[in-house]
Amino acid sequence: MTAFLMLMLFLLPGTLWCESLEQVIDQKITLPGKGKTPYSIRELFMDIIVGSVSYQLNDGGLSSFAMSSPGLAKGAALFHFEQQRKIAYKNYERSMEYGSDADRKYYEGVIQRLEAAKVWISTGNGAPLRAALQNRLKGTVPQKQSPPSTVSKGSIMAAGTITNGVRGIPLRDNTVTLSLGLTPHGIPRCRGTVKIKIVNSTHADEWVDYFFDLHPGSPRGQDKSKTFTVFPSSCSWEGKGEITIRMSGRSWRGQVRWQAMAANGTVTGSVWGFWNEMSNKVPFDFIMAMIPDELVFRAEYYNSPRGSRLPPEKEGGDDFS
Amino acid sequence: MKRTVLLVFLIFSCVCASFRAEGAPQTAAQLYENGRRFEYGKGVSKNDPKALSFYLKAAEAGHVEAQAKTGLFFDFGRGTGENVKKAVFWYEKAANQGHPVAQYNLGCIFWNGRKGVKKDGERAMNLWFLSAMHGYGEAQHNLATVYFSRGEKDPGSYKKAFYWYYQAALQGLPKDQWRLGMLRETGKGVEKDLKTAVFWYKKAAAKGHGEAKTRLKKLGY
Repeated sequence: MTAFLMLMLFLLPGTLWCESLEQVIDQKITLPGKGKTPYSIRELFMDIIVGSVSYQLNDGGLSSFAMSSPGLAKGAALFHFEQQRKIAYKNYERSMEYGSDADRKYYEGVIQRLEAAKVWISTGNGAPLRAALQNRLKGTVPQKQSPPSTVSKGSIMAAGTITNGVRGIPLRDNTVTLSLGLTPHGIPRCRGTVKIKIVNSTHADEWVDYFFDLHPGSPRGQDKSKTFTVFPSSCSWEGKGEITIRMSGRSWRGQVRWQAMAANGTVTGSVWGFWNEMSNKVPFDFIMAMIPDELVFRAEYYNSPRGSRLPPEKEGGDDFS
Repeated sequence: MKRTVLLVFLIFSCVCASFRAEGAPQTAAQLYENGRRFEYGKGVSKNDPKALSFYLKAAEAGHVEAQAKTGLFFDFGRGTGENVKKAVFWYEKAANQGHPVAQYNLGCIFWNGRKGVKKDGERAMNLWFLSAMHGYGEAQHNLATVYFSRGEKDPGSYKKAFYWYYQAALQGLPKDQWRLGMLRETGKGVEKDLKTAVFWYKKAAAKGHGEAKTRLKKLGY
């Protein structure tokens, strides 16, 4: 009986959200700055997602619109934005895997707007959304856009590179992107992705892609039980994740572990625990021989509240010889 | 005496069991499964009128899949004469409960307008939007196509077209992969990027899309 009730409690909100989107989609609304002409909710959603808002959206108007929206419309909007954010995040990861910077940047923008839209709908604070939309309207892609955050109270982005490797094996692509922030309960969270590409030393036209998805990690050691109202100046985490290796249209997956420490705007850490498992999975020894069993990374904050700093750019590849 | 009682009990049980098998009402799910058996000829001969009669009973009992099927049978006149009003009625029942195929089909009826149903582009777009949100590729494609057609007058529409073409393309639809490549090549709605355009053209060409193959050839690939 208890299990049944738990299941119902778990399923109920989802069901309500789903139904509400069907119920509100035919409604039209009056938008701030758009006079009294009714505007379709569908188009408002689409405008925000693609960053094509041509009407006036000021903070005051946004807040009052968000706060005075009927509960049903609000719930539907939140559900919709969250669902699309999840899809956008998957597409963002895919674009990294197939190596399109253009698609990656595109999804960075989509994710940024969707996250800002969620803040707007749930709190009435339209400032992040306005900022995200203005970036788009000016035609400027926000500098080294953030990977999506899984935190709900703002986020700090960090970008960097893997700093070690196998002697004589250059890394063609080498990117570490991390997202740090606080959960609603004030617990510091960190997640991110690592991507490296290495040429097969025996067939120069063949590349091997190593993609690591670092799932959200938990604070470790003394940081374990602490909660914060602002992101702490230093913190360390550990977590699990997934490695995907791709070569010649084939791919192999496995588990990884990772740890990281943030202090004074720099995040240092490592990814390990995948080597033995993957060595048994991949069909050629050279695939694992080209990377070390522990990858060490270093990343710098680049949109910290203390001021914007661009991440270090590395072109042409690193050589660890 | 004991034997007689036992015999009477056994006969009574058998009579009850046979009565249940023949006359007991089936659940909505069982009715729907029977409808599928007759639609696809699973263990029986294909029979659209019989399939429809089972689907209709299940639909009346509130089975969402059956409601969508019933709408489809009336829409295309399968097992009965074409009846758009009845199709709309059953599609709406399923669509309101979030059935993506019913939402898509109902959207198509409103988009084109049919006997007794007025054209309503706005309603069609809303229905395709819902279906697209549930991940239905054809609805994503239709939405993208409508936005694309509006792009000349309203450049913002190209951005919306790109958004939905991308999601449809990921489902492996070559026509959408080709469109995505085209938008990337021409920079309509998104930043121009030939490398990404070629990536999508190649995806479409691998599935035999002729225009994508031609474009790749012209670009020297």
